[in-house]
Amino acid sequence: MSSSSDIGQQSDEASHPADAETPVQRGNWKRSLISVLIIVHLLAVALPPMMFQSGGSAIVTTLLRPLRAYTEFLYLDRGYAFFAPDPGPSHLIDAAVTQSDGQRTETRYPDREQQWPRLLYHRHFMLAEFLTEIYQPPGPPRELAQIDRPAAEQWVRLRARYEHVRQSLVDHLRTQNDRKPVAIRRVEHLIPSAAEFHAGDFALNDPLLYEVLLDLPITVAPPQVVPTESIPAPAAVQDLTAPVDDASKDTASKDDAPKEAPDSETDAQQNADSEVTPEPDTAGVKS
Amino acid sequence: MILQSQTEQPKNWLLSSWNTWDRFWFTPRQPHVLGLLRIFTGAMLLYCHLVLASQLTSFLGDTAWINNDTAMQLHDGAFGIADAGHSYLWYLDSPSLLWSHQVLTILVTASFMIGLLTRITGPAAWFLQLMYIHRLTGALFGLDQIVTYTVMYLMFTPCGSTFSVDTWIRKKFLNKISSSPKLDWLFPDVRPSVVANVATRLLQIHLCVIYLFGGLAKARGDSWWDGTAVWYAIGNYEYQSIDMTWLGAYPRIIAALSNITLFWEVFYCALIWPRLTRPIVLGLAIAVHGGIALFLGMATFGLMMVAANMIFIEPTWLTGFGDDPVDDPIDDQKEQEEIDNLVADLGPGSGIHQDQDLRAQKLKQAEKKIRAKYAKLKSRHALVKEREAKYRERVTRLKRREAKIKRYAERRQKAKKQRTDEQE
Repeated sequence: MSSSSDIGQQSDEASHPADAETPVQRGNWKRSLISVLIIVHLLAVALPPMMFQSGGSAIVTTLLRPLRAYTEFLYLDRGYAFFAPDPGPSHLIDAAVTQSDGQRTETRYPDREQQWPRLLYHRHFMLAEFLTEIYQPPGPPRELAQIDRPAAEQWVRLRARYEHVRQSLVDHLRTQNDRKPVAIRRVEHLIPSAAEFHAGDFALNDPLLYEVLLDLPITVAPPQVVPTESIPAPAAVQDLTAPVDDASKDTASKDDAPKEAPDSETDAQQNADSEVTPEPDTAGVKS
Repeated sequence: MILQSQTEQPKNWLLSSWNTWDRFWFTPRQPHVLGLLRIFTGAMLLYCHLVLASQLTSFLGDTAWINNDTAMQLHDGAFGIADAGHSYLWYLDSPSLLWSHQVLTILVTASFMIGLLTRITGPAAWFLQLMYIHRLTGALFGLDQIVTYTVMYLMFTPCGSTFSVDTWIRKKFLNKISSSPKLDWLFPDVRPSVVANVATRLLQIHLCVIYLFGGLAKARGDSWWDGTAVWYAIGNYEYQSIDMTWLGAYPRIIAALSNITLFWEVFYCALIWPRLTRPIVLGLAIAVHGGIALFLGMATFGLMMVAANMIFIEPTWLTGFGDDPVDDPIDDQKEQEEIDNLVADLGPGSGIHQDQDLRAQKLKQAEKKIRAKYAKLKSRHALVKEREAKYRERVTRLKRREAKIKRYAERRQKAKKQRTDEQE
């Protein structure tokens, strides 16, 4: 096989190929046309990840507009953000099937024992990740609809997408389980830090690291009106700290209270009950 | 004078830029690397479709994880903006139809892998892959991206002209194939072509874009900078295939791996081209993707990325393994030297007192080598003859065409003359 110096030689050829081979003689117009097509394709390759990173800069949006269909059909509309910006926790699905005798069996997806070969396991893993990726909490909050109607409409569409996908997963599981009642919930598997792991605090699959993700609406707290007079004068800071701290402790304790994992079936029932699925083809959705 | 030189400078710059562009894109390239990449890509596509077949109705049809309606709605604008990622698989529900389609796909990808009718199976494999991609939304990952792009660039090229069944067919029916332009296109000859170069350059640049944006996306996070990212990758229980958590006890190694990965990805697009840095960048590609394949449970993705990186290998590396032993001068020289040395050993100056057995053994060795050389030369001679016949035929065809054109031109001239005479 070639040594590294050979690679160098080849690189030279890559940079200055004319030294090695003679270009084919072709009509200039043909080459110009091919060159234009090449440039268009390269734009279609580079602009989607640029869009992904920039979040929609004006120039990228303008340039990408005529190429959008091309990039989408060729599956070029990707961001290439593998393990980025930071490698994070995994997202799984817990499925509970209620048997005819009332007993419940739970299965976690993905499962290396059940899905083999690894590629099949990975496809299931990606499905579980997808459900969390597209998750949109119930809503929108009434306040958002008043302030920003388009954002509220988008919220409704995204929620509908999540609910449709979730329902599709549930339907599949029901088909696999002789139409028995099935409920699913999303689970996040946290990763301990290296220090925690080596201190023996957690094994990678420690049950404490699995956190059920609740499907709760986002509530907007009413804005606190603080009268100007209540801002303490510098001299009075020390006197006033105690009640302020107490108040903040109260709030914190409410927020930090351990969230009780809902009974999966009940949760699903509630979701199913509250599921408002807008018709995909309605004018409201299309707009 | 000064004005003239000032106007010529940008003109020269433009001309030189065009020449560089022209050389970069339009220099013919041998198809050997593409042939090898075709085997890897075809094998990966085949494997993906075989795995999918093991649970076909879980991924396609109305009872799939993502059923037909939902898959369609994810693209048709029901939940927001519509996209052009359409697939006829949204409408296939019947299990027998789905199975027939799957069998067809497996046959097409297998044919592409072995290089059978590659000019047809290449585009077919790409199109089928796109249809699956737009149907399997939600179950896809990096592997699907790289395999789709590779087959997309390969389908334009004569990647079936080497390491393939097409090559064997071409050799078997050489006369018939070389006399018909259609068959000549269907079973391409191993020769440098511009299209092979354009596809190679496109894939090379596409890889550069993938790594650049992969790196930039990582640069937005904290863990790739503070050096903990690799820990969170190997500590991810769902990805893990081989337990590497012991590495966590060596934070400096973890940090080095994280930082190197970040810098390698960001600078790949620049450092892959110069002669000095290309082996380093390719070596790191093998290390990073090999690591992903071995330890992070994505053997398919890791292997496919390593295979895609092969696009930076020059075809001359592989021509030795190629299907055309006619152009193999280095091998010739080496063999000739060996034979000369053996004959010199047996010559009159080699010493009469040498052991008879040893001399006989050497003689046998020399004879064997000469015979092998003779056989090789004979087969090469036959190949050269074959090629000569092909060229002769081509020349005859061209001469015939030339004569035809001449006759046509003469006829036109005559007609023109006649018309002029009549007018006069």
